[in-house]
Amino acid sequence: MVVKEGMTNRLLSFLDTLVEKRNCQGFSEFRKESMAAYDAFDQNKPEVREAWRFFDFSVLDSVSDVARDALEESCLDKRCSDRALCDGVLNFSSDQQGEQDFVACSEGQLLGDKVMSVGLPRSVFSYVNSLTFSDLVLLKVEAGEDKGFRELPVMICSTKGMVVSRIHIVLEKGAKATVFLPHRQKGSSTELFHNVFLDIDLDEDAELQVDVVDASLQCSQIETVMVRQQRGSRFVLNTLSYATRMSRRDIHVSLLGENTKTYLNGLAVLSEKQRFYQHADLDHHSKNGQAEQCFKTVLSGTSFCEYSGLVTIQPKAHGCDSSQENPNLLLSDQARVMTRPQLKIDADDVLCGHGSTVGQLDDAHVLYLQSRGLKKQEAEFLLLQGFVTDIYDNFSEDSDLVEDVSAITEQLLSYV
Amino acid sequence: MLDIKNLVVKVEDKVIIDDLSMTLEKGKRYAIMGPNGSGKSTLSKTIVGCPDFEVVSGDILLDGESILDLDVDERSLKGLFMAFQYPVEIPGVNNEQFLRMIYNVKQKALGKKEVDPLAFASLIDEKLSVLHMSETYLERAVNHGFSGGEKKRNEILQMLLLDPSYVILDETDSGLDIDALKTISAVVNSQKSPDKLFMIITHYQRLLSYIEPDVVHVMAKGKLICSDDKSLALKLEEKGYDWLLKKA
Repeated sequence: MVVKEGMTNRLLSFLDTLVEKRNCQGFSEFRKESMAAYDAFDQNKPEVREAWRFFDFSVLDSVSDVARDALEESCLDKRCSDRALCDGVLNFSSDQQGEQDFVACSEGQLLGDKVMSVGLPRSVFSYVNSLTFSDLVLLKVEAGEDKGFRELPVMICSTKGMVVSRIHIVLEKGAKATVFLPHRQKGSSTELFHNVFLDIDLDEDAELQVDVVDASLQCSQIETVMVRQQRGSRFVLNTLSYATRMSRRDIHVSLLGENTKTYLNGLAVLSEKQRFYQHADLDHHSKNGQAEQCFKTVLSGTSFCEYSGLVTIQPKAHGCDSSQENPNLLLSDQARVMTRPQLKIDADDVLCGHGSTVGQLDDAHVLYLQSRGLKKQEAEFLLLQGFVTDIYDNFSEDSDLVEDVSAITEQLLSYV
Repeated sequence: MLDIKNLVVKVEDKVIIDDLSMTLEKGKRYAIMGPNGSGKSTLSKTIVGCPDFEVVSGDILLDGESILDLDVDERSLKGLFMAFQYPVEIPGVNNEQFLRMIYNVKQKALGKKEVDPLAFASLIDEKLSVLHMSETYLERAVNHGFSGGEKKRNEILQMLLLDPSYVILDETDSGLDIDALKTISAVVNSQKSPDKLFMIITHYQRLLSYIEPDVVHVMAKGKLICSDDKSLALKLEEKGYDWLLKKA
């Protein structure tokens, strides 16, 4: 794994010019532009995309100032790496450096690397992510290698309550990797805005599994995941969210090559005023792609969840099999769910399915279990556990979910 | 003894069971027959305690003790068991864990020691073999993706496990092929004992040719209209219900 100082390629050349010319003023202006883009991101404006229509921007009001402060505080002279190393979770003690193979690269090395990102313009938050700090973690697995990355440091840079994570995962031909990204913020009462950007490139026959846990109660989080899959590659994303004030995950998967496989699984357990937004766009560009999505939610209190899934089958992508599933369990009268599984099919000979359910625990199920001697609370708890456990099963054995499963179990117990 | 006294049951303001009285003794098997809509399944679900059915008047007693104020689970722990006509599928709940859980709940209620997974494995293996069920049933979710016959076998498996004193089989024969019917009937027959009573709800004589009832009760319009020995089921098979309904 390599920790790099820099931006993604689209910004690199521009920044390079600024840096080479020591054009501090230019760089500052660039940052101001990014802030302007952030400020202009108003749900009332007609140009805001459909994907943000149901987003509760009031949740971001408090973090907006935090983001602005962070942007303004960042200056060219202390552009990143020192801050990242000192202030971020990423610590470069000599032990860790040896154990985890961290390497801090110079800008020159970075510019020589063929890191590319096509995802940045898709969301203002990924845009802001790149402009606030310039560090990223590059996780590169070379052809034929098989690696597991546990507890990957995700908080690369942080200042005044804004945390920026940027991870670029590149798997070369035939490489395999499993990555565990726990977003946990313990013992902090500080309100945080966590802006995560995951950029993923899978070469032919590469296999990647990414397991993510969101459990930072004081955190409002926006995560953008951009994935590009080449022929025969396999991508699995498992997500578990249960203790964030607000969490939004935008997943964009481009199945570029033939015979790609994509599996997206997620569980969100929400209570009180928690907000959760799950957007997943899968774009089948080539033949015989297989994709399965299953995002489950358990809601109580006045929590809210939005699921928006769009599967696009391009005109020549025959033989694709793509499904979306979004079961939601409402445990309170005030909790709300907005679900929009969508298909856009421009090819013949494809198999696509989409479905969503929104409901409460089935009385017939409770009755059945009670008729076998279980108390009503035991029966309801068993059903809740049954609803969530298959999502756990998708996670890698190396991903340590013990405390998360325990916390969720405790939460579910409080519902019955 | 299961004693049903002047029972009146309503569903959404419609009377389904109308002043029904019936006494079922331990050691005997009772067939409950009747045309569609006669109230057979309503009766069984009311006995179990399904909250959809409102008991307007009358009583249901187990060994002289009213169970109307008991919850569904409390009735179960009193030894009441119903094999459902349409067992629900419960995705995500592992069958083996579920079976062990209900077994241990029963053990606890009886003041007996709960069993660990290892001890339970040997216990359940024995029951599975009696029903000609493979161990793969245990790995699956409760009834999830089971065929009609598999679901019914799973019901009988639970009956074997819980060893209830009052057994209601609600149209257990529906959806069963002949071999499965024979297997399940043999298991039910093996459970005959002076401490158990069976209420067998069915539409067809076929089941009763394998599980011979001591008494056949016929219901119509929520009432008990006729009772006789097993020959009554044969007569119904031959003549239908019209003659009885006219007589009633």
